[in-house]
Amino acid sequence: MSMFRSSVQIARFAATKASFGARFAYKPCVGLNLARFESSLSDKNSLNTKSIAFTYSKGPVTVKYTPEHEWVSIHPDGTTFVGITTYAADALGDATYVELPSDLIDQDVEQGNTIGSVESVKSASDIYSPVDGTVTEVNEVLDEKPALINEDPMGEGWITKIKLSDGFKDDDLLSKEEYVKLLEEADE
Amino acid sequence: MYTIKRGTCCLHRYSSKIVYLERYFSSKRVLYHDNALSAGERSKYSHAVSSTDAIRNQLELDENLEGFFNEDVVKNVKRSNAQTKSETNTTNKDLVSMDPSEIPIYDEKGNCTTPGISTFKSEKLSFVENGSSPIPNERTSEINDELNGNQVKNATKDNNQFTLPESFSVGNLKRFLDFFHKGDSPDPNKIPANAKLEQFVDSKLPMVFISRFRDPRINLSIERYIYNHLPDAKKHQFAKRLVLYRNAPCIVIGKNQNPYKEINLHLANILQIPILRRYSGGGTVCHDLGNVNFSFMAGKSLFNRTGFTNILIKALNSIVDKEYANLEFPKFPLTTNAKGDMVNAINQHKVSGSAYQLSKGRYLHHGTMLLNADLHAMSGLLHLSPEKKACIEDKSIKSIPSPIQNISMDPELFEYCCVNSFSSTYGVPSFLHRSTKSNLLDLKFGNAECRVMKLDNISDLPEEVINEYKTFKSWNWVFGRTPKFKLHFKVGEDLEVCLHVHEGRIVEMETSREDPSLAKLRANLGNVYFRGSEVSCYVEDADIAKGFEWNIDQGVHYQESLGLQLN
Repeated sequence: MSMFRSSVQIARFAATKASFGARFAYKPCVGLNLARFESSLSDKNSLNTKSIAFTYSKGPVTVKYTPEHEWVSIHPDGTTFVGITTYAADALGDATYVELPSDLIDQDVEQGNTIGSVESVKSASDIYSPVDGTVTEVNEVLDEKPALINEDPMGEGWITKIKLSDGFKDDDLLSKEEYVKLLEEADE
Repeated sequence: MYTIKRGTCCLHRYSSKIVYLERYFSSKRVLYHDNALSAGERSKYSHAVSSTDAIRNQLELDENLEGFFNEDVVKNVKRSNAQTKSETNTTNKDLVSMDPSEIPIYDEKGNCTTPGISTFKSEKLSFVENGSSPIPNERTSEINDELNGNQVKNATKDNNQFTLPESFSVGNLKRFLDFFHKGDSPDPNKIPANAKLEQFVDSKLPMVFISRFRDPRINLSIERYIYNHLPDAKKHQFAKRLVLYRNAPCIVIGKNQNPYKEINLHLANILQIPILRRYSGGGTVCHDLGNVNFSFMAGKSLFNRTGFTNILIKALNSIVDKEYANLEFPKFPLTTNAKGDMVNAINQHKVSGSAYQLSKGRYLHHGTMLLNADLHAMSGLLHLSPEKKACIEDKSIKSIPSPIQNISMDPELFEYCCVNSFSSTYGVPSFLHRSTKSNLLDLKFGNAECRVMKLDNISDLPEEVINEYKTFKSWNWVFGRTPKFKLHFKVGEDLEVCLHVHEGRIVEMETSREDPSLAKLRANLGNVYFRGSEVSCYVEDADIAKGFEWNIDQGVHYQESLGLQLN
């Protein structure tokens, strides 16, 4: 079977590489400027340090990511801000509606639960909770101005505030380096 | 192409041999990868001529496929792998590579007399065995005529503009239609042996599901169930889905839309047209039986708004203006516009609308295709006066009306084209277990194979589908889920009202003056559902109550007319 295994890997590698070329392909500009795109991946997907998602507390603020292209900024009192990354916002295109978890306020959510969606160009994209906790607030500005998701996805375009439940460990979440690496691999 | 009726066979004996040769060579293509390979290339591939080798190649591509081959063959592959001999001409008694001497010889009655071919024949030509087609359908007999006689005539015409491209595969069309109508006339001696949906929903191979239900709620529930159960694309790269269904007249709104602003509720109420809210984004569409819905599902990393559409357009454009067995073929070529919609390439009229849903690891693209839909009725159901629209203040997704057009194509032919494009592109080169279930069909296009499952029995659907069905039927989902909005209207001469609606309830009320008859309603804000008939019970003046009822929902009967379940 060892003969099988090596060729399986090669075949899979080739298939993955081909398939990722098509990722978000409707936006023709995304894949083209690869060099510029990659060099700025890390900067682009950083939290806006002037926004409330960062300035809410004196810190230290931990920023984590998920493979579903969400970010979460964790403050010392257990308050977190959740949103989608710049990469995701760019890929989805102009947001026309943000479904906020207003019906979940004061309710407990678990990591991976669906807590809302972003609609853009006829696509409804689900948003998942990156943490375990209680939804405490939604960003109502997005109701009036969904475009904020594209303008400042990692700052004023935060979607919801979740208070971490006791003992939640962020081990499953990605660091910025890990997330950027995932993006680079995806666009290779 | 495979139809060789008894009795008529002697007349067409020669032509049936040609037909058989064609089939023989197309079956060889599976092994050679491409019929058109040059001799040199062919010798390069000649090591892969035995099916054992072909299967070995596929197992190398993905060993997860192992479960899908006949166990004996897999055993053989493993055994021959174990032998480290360099020669690869291992032969398997059942799937031995054919030589031309095996071309069947038919006797006067059309029975095959060549040894070794009979099993092949009974498998591929099962519908011939009875002498008559199982389809009591006019169209099948037309096709049979065509297959028996006219086809030969057509083929001999020089420079025939009606000749269908080889990729169309007339033989598969016949099998598909046969399969599609199998069981349409019940046989007292045969209870259909159906496979259950849940047995195949998590198949690691590409699958096509065709629903024969016409209830839009059942169809959307099936679609959602299949989507939720799509295997993880990272582990199972072949697991893609195509779901096809046609709905009885209904209106389907996008996930974040406001039905009060999109739909002529008054007309929907009179005509008893069900209203559904789907889970994907986009605008409002009307369906009827002249519209086919297709739904493509794959891993999120493949998300592409026009990926499947382009494949489909290619297939449809290749058969524009063709003729075959009195089936209606498309009359004009299609293309995509800037928004990714399928449009008539000549006048840019829209023929298909798309919507998408993205979730963890997967995405869904569903499209409607206008074949012979009643466009006039559709526009009426979606027509609201500008005054009425102006009453609603909200941030929901607005539908963008576009000029639309039917492609005037046979729905079943269109469904076949969908299956053909999906299977040719995403099918797996394999030798599937031949299923004995009456609702399963394995179709092979070139060297790509794909399984088609027909859904035509409610008891084959799992409980989960029924649960989804309840959601699609609930008022809370269809109307209650409307993004928050304000409704402005005027009652009588001077009473101006603005209702704030959130999660299906009136949460706030502004009025131009205080009116005692509204006291009860005001006291109950936050509890009263935004339904005309219900709100009017809280208004203690008959005329004002009427004004509220009409302006809220034109007095729609949610249960009786729209078939919804209230809370």
